[in-house]
Amino acid sequence: MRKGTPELVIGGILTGAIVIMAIVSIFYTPYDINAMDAARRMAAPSAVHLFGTDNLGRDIFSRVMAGSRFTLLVAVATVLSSAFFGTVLGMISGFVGGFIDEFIMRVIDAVNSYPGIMVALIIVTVLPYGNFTIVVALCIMFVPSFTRIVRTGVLQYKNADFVKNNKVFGVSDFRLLVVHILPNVFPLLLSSVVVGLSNAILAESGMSYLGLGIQPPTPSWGRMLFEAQSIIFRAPWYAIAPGLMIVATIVGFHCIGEGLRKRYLA
Amino acid sequence: MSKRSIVSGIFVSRVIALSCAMMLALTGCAAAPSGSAQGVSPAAPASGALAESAAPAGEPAEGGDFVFGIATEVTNFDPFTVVTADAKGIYFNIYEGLVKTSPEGDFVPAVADSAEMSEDAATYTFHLREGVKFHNGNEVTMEDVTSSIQRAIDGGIAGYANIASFEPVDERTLEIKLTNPDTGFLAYMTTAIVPKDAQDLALAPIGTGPFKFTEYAEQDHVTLEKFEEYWGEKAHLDKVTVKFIAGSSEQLIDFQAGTIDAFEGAAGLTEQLDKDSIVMHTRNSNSVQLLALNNKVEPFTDVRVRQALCYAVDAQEIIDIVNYGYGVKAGSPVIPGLSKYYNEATTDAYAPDVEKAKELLKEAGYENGFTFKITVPSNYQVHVDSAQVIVNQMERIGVKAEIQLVDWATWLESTYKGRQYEATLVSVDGSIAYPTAFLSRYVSDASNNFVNFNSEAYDAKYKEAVAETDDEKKVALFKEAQQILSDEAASVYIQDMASISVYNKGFDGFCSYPLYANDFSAIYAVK
Amino acid sequence: MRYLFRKTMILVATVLMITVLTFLAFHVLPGDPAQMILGTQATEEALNALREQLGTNLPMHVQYMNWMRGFLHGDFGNSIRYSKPVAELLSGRIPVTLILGSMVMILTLAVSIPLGVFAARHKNTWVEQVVNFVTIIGISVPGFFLSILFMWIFGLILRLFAPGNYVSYTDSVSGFFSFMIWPALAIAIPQIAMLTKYIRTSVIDELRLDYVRTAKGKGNAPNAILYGHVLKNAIISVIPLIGMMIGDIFSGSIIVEQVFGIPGVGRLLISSVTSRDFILTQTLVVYIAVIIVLTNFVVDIVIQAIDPRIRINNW
Repeated sequence: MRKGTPELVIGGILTGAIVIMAIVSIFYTPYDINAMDAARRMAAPSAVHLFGTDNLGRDIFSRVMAGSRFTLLVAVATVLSSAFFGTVLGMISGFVGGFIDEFIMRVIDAVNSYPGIMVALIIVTVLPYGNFTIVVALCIMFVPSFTRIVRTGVLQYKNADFVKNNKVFGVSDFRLLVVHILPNVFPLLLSSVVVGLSNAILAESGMSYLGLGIQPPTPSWGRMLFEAQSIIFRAPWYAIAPGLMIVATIVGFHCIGEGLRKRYLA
Repeated sequence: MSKRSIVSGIFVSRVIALSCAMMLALTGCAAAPSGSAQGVSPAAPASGALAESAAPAGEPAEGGDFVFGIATEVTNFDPFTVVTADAKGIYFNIYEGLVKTSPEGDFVPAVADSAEMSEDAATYTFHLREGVKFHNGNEVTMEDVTSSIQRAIDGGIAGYANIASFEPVDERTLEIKLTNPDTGFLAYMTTAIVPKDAQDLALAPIGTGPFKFTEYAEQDHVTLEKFEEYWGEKAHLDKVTVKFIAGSSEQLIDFQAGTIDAFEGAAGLTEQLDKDSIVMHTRNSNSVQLLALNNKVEPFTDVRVRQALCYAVDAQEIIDIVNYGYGVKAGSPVIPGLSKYYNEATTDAYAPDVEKAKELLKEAGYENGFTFKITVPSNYQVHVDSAQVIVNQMERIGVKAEIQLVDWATWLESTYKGRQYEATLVSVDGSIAYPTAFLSRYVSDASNNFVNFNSEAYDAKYKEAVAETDDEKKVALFKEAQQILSDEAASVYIQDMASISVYNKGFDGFCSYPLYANDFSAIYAVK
Repeated sequence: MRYLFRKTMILVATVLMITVLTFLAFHVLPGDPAQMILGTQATEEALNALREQLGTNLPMHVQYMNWMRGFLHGDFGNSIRYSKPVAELLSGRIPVTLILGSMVMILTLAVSIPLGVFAARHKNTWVEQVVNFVTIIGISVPGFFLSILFMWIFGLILRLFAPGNYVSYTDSVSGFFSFMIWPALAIAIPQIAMLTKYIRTSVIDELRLDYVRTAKGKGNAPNAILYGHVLKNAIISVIPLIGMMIGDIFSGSIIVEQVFGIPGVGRLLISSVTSRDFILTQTLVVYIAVIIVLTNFVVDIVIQAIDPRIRINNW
């Protein structure tokens, strides 16, 4: 088992590359990301346009580069915040139990069964306009799943022998939760963080439709995929570039997650 | 030679003044390729209009089922309640008014077979046609007509507020008196005539049109069937299904799969199809796309800033990039296709000029530019794309534009009704093919004046134009009113977007109108 | 019995909370259903007349109370957008969405449990890597995109079904299922990918727990351990996810119904919200909530019944 963790290396390289690309795009992209050209619209990938051009004749490679910045910021912020709130709620719910548990879970149920489109519409009405108000909406939508996962984990371990033993030794509840239970819940949490990231990237595209999220012409991968579907017959490559970037990001995070798991938990 | 000719005599007591509006002989579509002999049609698609009628692909076959895809669902078919463009596209086949619009933009007799206007343009007399039947089999009576007019008045239908009284002279003659004289009043009489006892028009519409309504399935389709007892030229098709398909890619796929026989969309969509396997018909959408500037919000309170934006926006670039070159530049809210009334001079009044724009901004004290927000209804991809082009154009004059997408309900409530916006990009259509439909909203106190335009000169000119009874003078006044809007740069007028219908090769007979209408009675299966 | 009664009360409270949320949402959201129906050409008189006819001229709280009163009497009211009883609109749609959801659920469980265990069993081999990679792609492809892709590839190119030509189950059961399998797959693929990943993780975790080691020590064959104890525990860890999945599947079906042109509840929900149809939205939201809450409720009971480590909390 302890023969090093190639996943960590792969994940590190992939994620690193994407982050570097995001940083580079602040200073340099091969083309102006918003420059349009009717004569060059829907051009296939070539040496001139590495990933081709979109329906307005914009360079897809440049837009994918710049898009990484906004996409990653939204996705990471969403997942971190919702994982944090979800973990706190899930731990309280699972560990304290009783009425508190019931209450939290039913609120979670309510939020979970509430249509995302309405959450988004309300947020855009209530909060001021901005590229990142979407994080709030997505966070609200994502908290329930994290809460459930953590709660189930806590329930599984709270009566396990090693936890009981520690309790006998007078370990405080808080310490019990954070030091003894949380690490065991961690692998599942990690799994859902990776899934959550891709969900956040994809959900952003749908939300901008309602006035939330990254607004055009600022590129985001999710929105690029969304736009790609309507020209898929003429320019299927429009979907490939953002699609590949999303896969690469998820693979990167997944590998890091796996690597961490192996190194610290095995 | 025209198979659909409606030859009748609308005789007018003052033939001179009304020649354009009422003289009629032929309503020919593709079936009358040489066009109407009466070369007086006000909206002859010559100057600006795009009507590009392909040569008929084959001989018409009688019968057949036709499936037409449209993007926006129509949920209510009451012609006195819902007057949206999409609804009218369907109404056109089910309902008829005393008169109806012809492809040339004239008003031709329908339920009435002739009409007269008094010298002072304050009294109109209509003679009902004999033997016009409703879809329920009953003949149209005077009572049906008067109750329909009452419904239109109660429903607040545009133009009907001007009716002072309407009285049957005899069983087949109706006299309508107007509060304010209006030579263009006939345009309003295109609103449906329905049975007086019709209860639920919203879901069970009954009219006199060439098709009768048979079924509506929510979020799916409307079915129309050929009305065998139609008074005029009967439809070729037996059945028409209008299918609601929300997504653009879905429309494309369904069309290619043969689930739908035709659909109508923006160029960005139809350009993806293989041109050899389809029949394309391009026409104007009969609405003007504009970058509406809220005249009450800084810095658009300053006419120089508005003018600067007009110089900055290059309509041709938008047409080329977003609409693949299809579209007609517009310089006023009136659609260029309404060529009799459209003020040609406004089209290029603001030829793109970055230097001039910068100069104007400097004069106005915005040397270093400013930032403003363009609110765009997100359900219109074509506006979303156009807005992105405009952002680039604004950058050239040092102004930063930001796009904010909103859903349609929000746009209607906050932007359109609430006027809570800085700039917004939409297309505005007219309820009828008449300049008042496009110009009335710029009157200072108009309830739908969503750009908050305020000009006493304009208000006076508009009023004068409406009241004028001499046709020539009236036309001139409407043009002058448009000139004021252009000079004052009420907003940035961009184009009348092209609407492209795509048919598979099994059907033909497409017919274009100067208003939003899908005339299914002209469509036929190719033998 | 007392337990059941209490749970029922909680269900009612949850649903009530949801109706209040919807009410508050419509209270703050801009949008006038009458204007939505009449469009920009509407005159003020026409708008007022329609508002009165639809009952949307009343204050929001009155509309809410009216809806509530009717609801308690089993009358869901009339849809504002479709001017038709909500019950009538829903009756044909509920079975469609329920069947679609069930198909997705069965597909997901049938594929991901074996696949997840399989991947865990072949831990650290190329097999696991392949499964991992495929699941990641599955997770990364958005539902709307997958739907379009399916329509394009299976509908247009391979002609396995007619896109846009939904067949009702009342017309042809086989036609219905051979059409519905595609949208079901489009929803299921991201779910399968996600669940496979979870199961794999949770099986691997199980494998390193004490009892497996003990079993191994006792000389039980590895396969017996894996498929006996471990599988059981893996399934237990999946059960709580089912509640979540119901929600996900429903959101998935919203998009997929739209793209494939299926007359289901999801499509209706979107149009009811975008057209600000308060009555229809309220009823739909309650309906969805009841399904989700009930599922989670059953899930809780099942977990507690089969997992000795989790005790029923008695308060």
